[in-house]
Amino acid sequence: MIVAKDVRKNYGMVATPQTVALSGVDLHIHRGEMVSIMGPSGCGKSTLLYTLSGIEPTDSGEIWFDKQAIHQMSEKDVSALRLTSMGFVYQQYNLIPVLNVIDNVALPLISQGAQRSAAHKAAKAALEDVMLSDKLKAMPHELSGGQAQRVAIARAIVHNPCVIWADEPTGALDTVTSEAIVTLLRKINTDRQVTMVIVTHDPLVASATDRVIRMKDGRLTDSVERDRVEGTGG
Amino acid sequence: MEHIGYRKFLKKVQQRVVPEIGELLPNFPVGTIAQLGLMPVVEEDSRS
Repeated sequence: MIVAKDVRKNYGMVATPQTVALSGVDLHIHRGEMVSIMGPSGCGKSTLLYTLSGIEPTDSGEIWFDKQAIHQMSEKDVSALRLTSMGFVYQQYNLIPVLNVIDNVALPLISQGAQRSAAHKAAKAALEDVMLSDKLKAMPHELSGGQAQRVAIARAIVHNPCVIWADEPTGALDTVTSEAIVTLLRKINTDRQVTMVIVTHDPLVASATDRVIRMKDGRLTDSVERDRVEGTGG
Repeated sequence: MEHIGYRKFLKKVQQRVVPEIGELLPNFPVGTIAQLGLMPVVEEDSRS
């Protein structure tokens, strides 16, 4: 479903010493798979997530998403692809502080031009899935960290994306709350057969995924599948 | 903070009182305001 071929990316000006973020990454993520990417700080794992999802352009190499060549798409087209086919979860939740919970969750559908009533209906269903039906009108600042992350997860699933990208989804949470978030992500992956790619430092998160990919210095160093039924591939 | 709804939110983005959606959510492009499918807010409101 997601394929990277010899993806390379450097940061910095050409005339100055460059930081190598990705140094020839080859990767294949199957439909419905739940994958974690681990490695030391600065190894390129977040850069890999942002290049695979089309947020950051590559310097060279190919990225394919469901047989669409992201590396050849215009910024406008890749933005549209993200809006319709991808969901995102960030470490700091990134909720819009002046919108209540249901309007935050409905945002991807509103952005696609959905009617507010239809968007709110879908948002309520997504909030039921993350067990926050009682917080529809709450404001982000009224939520605990775990609740805020569950709202962010509801926002990531509300438009039924093919893939969810998560960048350190438990990085701001305590251990107990992290466990609950990991369980929720696993349930969503299983119930909806949505592909998940999770960048994490947290062994707890990695232990819940189908495959752990390790990175160092911009390269993949290891890819270990866990004891779990594999997806159908492709 | 109070809930202000999408229209007032967009107005505040236009007035640069709050950040663009794309600045908070990198998966949304900066300029998402034009994609929100809502009527653009053209009138100025000095009270906001």
